[in-house]
Amino acid sequence: MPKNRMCLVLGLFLLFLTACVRQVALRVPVGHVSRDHPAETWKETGEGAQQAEKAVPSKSPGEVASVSLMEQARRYLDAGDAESAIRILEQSIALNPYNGRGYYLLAEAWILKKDPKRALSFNRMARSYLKGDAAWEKRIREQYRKIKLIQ
Amino acid sequence: MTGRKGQRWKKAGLFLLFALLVGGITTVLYCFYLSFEIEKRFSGRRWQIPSRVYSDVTLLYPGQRLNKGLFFQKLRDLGYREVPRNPEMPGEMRILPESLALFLKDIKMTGKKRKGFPLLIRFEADQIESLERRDTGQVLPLMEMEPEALMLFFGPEREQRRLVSIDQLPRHLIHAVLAIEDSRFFHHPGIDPIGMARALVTNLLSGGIRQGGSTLTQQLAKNYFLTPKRTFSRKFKEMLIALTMEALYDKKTILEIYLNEIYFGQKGSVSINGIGEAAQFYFGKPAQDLSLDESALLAGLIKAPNRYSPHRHPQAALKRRNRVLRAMFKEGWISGKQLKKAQSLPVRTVGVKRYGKRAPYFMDYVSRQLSRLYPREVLSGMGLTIYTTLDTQVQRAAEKALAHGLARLERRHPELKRLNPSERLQGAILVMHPKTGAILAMVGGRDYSASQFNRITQARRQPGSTIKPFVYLSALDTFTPASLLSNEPRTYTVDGHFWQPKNYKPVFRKHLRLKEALAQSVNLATVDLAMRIGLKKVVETIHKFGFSTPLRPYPAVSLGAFEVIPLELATAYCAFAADGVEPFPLSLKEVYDENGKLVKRKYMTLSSVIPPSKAYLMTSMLQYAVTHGTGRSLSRRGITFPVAGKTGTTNNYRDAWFVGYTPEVLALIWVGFDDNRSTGLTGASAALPIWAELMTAIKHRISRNVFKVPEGIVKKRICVESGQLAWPDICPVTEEEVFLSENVPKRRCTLHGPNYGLRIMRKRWEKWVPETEEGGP
Repeated sequence: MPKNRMCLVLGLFLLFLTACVRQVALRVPVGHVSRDHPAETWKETGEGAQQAEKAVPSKSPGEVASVSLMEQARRYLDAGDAESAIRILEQSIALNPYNGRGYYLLAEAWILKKDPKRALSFNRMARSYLKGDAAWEKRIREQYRKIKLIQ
Repeated sequence: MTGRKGQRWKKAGLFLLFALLVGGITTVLYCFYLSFEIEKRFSGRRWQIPSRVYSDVTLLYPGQRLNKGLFFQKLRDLGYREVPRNPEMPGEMRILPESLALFLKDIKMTGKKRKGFPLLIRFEADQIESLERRDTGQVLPLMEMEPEALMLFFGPEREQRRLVSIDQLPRHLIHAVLAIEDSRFFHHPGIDPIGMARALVTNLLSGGIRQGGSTLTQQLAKNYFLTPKRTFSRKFKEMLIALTMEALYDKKTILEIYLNEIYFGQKGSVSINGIGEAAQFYFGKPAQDLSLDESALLAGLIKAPNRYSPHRHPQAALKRRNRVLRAMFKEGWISGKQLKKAQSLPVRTVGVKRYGKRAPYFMDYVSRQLSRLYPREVLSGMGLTIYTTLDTQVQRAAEKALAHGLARLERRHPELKRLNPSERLQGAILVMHPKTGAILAMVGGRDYSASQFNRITQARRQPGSTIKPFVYLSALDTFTPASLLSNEPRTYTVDGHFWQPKNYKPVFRKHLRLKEALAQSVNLATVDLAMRIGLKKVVETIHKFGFSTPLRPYPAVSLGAFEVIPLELATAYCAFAADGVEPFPLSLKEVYDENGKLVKRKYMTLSSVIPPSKAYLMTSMLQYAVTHGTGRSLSRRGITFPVAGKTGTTNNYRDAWFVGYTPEVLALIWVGFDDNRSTGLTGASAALPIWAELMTAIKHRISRNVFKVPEGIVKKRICVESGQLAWPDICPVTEEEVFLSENVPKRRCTLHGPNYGLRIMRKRWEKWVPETEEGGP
């Protein structure tokens, strides 16, 4: 066997030994290629997914405008003007389709208009988007009971 | 003799007295009859007011991206006029390189009333940096632009008017009309003998009819009750009616009716009636905002609106306006200074905008819905105000993208060109808000004047691969995005016939992951999946999304070999973008009666069709389709924000589709021939570029936000070869994949494994040893 071939076999043997040691110690073998290396590990539960969403720090301009509209709508609701509130809240949701609070207020407006079916559909949406927020979950549950009462 | 003569005179006198008595009684009776007629006419509906259809309002807010070209065009369409100084009056604007100053018009909608104010919009590149009131310095978080008028429902008389109250009109406008038409209006009883005598003298001296002796009341009587024919009896009737009207109504009421009734010119086939409509038509502003010179110009038009039209004969209009101003001065209603100033001003009018249909296919769609709610005569006469969901900026961008896209295809593929307009290559676009269901734009064809057939709402076309997401959705209870599907050719027996599906282009792998099969739109794998889950289930899923077209459980259904209405296809896709909730497509929002009372309202209506987790999984797979699949060319067409979508091509290239969406906007594009001829084009080559052009144009609708992950979704790293859970750092190529929490792969990769490294080394060794032997010395 030529000398260079001998060196190659020896080198490979050493590499193999190193790999075996790593595999035994860390269960990390050779040859791994990953297409995407996430910077952070996802929690493998739905709750984890929600928490990851909550970590998003800043609101987009559309979301900020959506909150502004929601405040307007709240004033209409306080004044008992469900029609105007619905009009504004639909605009708010168009700007931010994940606006859980907007859905909650829409449900409130439909309660005011004595339409439990629509109120329930928006209450359901609010529940879906505000999951994990204990204070809002409580409000949504209370709203659900209110809807059941008018049903 | 004398006695006989006297008797004859006496008889004649008696006869005359009798005749006068009879004539007087007849006249009184006739006036009595007229009073009923007048009351009947005036107490009922005085005018037929066409209903007006408006677009949706536009919201502006700091941070919003804008397509400035589209936005400025929208302002022009709203009647804002560019001025070279800071705007001082409602409807004026000044465009500067990094800002826009405009004086907003009033908004008068029920539930939303706003007095116009000066606003400064500062831009930073294509974003709104700030919105600031120029009068108070207040920084605004949000601003609402008034809706655009899209269409009017005319009756057979095609009259257009906007009613105004006399109390709202500026004094100089009333004076201008009185000065030139009837300066003694407040001093005569309906007919003006002094005015008549003056007119008679003027006409005799000039040898022709230079001046009319009719009062405003007489003009009104003529317009309302008589024909324009010039006869003595008509003139007599006119005077009687005028006298009766004056006896029945006060001067203010008569003047108000006159100002709302009078004819002010022509806009194509539509007549402009009343001072309110004339103010909008000639000056683009409400009558209450008319200046002195503008008021004088309108007053001057009454005599001969077409001869003195400022659009067609500006010089004649100027002369006439100055004559009115002089008449006002003569009456003492304006000062010499006012006269001088007003006379020095040029005639400034807004351009003529025809009452053509904007967004004609959308308007047809809205009209059909309205006709189910109201009879034609109500729409053309009751002055309803109808608000729709249309976003005129999106509509304009869609029309442009379709026109560009089809022209581009014809340039690149000259064989697609047809001379006959009815045979040309066609296309259609629908843009919706996936959550609210609002139709933002609808282009039902290439040229409305050539074909009014709406290819979004009336066409039935095969959806091709755009139906595949619904097949894959049907499988998500048992399959995952990582499940392997067979890509091997198979023959299926359908009603005793053999059917062998083929891939659009060769895919050499025997197995593909479900997500890859959808992204690459692999037919064999899709049919394999459909057969494994059962065609009945696939058909049930498709029906669940509200497709109204008939559908039978044949294997070809999974490849979209049945017909759909494009509107229904787009609405079904909305559910993927909207967390499993399918909205009702909305085009009509609110209908108000002429008193501003809400009479009809369409609300956002949601219907949950699939769980949010499944919708997200589909979105995730369709995102992969635009990053790694048939839609991957989007990235080089400027689509750098998160989108999900699917291309579609039908048998023999008859239809090319692309349906794509972000969390806030969904657009469907169709390209094809009406007679089902082959275009030779795929969805990716024909429809997708149009989609990309549209999306890059409607910046104000694109937030660039990601699709949010709902509850019930988990992420796992999988081996891309086996589609099973990856062995950490063992499987050679892994990928993070999303799964339904109730359907996560449980098995670790069986292709690779803990001993994979050893196996690889053994393989390499075995390969190497014979080589060594052969290569020995």
